[in-house]
Amino acid sequence: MQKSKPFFDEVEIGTEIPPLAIGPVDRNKIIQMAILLKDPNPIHLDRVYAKERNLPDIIQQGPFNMASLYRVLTEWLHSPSDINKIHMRLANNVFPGDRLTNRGMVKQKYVKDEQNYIVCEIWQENQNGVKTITGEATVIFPIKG
Amino acid sequence: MILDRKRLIGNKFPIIIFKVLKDEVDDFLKIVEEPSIDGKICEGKEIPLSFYPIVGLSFLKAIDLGRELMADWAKDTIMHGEQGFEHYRPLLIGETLRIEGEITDVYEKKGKRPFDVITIESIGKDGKGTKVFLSRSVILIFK
Repeated sequence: MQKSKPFFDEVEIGTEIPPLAIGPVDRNKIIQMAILLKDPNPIHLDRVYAKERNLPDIIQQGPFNMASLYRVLTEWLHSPSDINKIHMRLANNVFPGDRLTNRGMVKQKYVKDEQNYIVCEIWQENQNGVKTITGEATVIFPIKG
Repeated sequence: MILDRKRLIGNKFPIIIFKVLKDEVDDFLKIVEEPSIDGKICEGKEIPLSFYPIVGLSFLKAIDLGRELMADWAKDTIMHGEQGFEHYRPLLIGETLRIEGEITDVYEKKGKRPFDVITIESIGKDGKGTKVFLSRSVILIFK
């Protein structure tokens, strides 16, 4: 697994992006995020409301879940503006107390219009190995030298 | 009464004027415990990648949920399903964007509890009308 920022020709199909583990998810941070976003959705705030909807607890906001997976890319890319496209699916809910690991793997490389593109599968999983986010990112990498 | 949200397809949201505020980015990074690149949050600097979903979902704060999505925060279970971006150029702290959103698809998903899957595409443009990003958000509204 590579830890420094690689160049295009140093990345191969199957190369793993350095993972990032975070947690435990803090319910107070979920509430802080709701205040910052002015998000009135009670599913992030009210445990009784969540339980009435057959959830065990409040859930963390989608952008909050995605933030740590984005950070994996930020720390891997030479520049954040090297991101070209990204798509994430919130596959399962994230609850207070969850521990999350964010991962990625290179699945394709190509050159187009003199730009070097790398397509990565990206995902986040909880402490039980359940994927909470699945997705794909297309990024641009420089060539060494 | 059965809600038919399919008739929302093609509806355009009111245009949103979104300013990327330095303090909001700073507060966001503190909450998610992400260090800022170079330790700096300042006007003119690129926003952290993790902040893009905040911009992409800004329509939820700006729209009348009842009119635009036939939903109510108190009565309906509403969740964020998917988020995607195509980036044309970096978005900078301090920039003001004009975001134009449209409902591009609605379908019902059956299951233990049926829900509507609503896709919203938003284009963010700068003051010169140049595209900064295309955002694709999927919102789930349970029935």
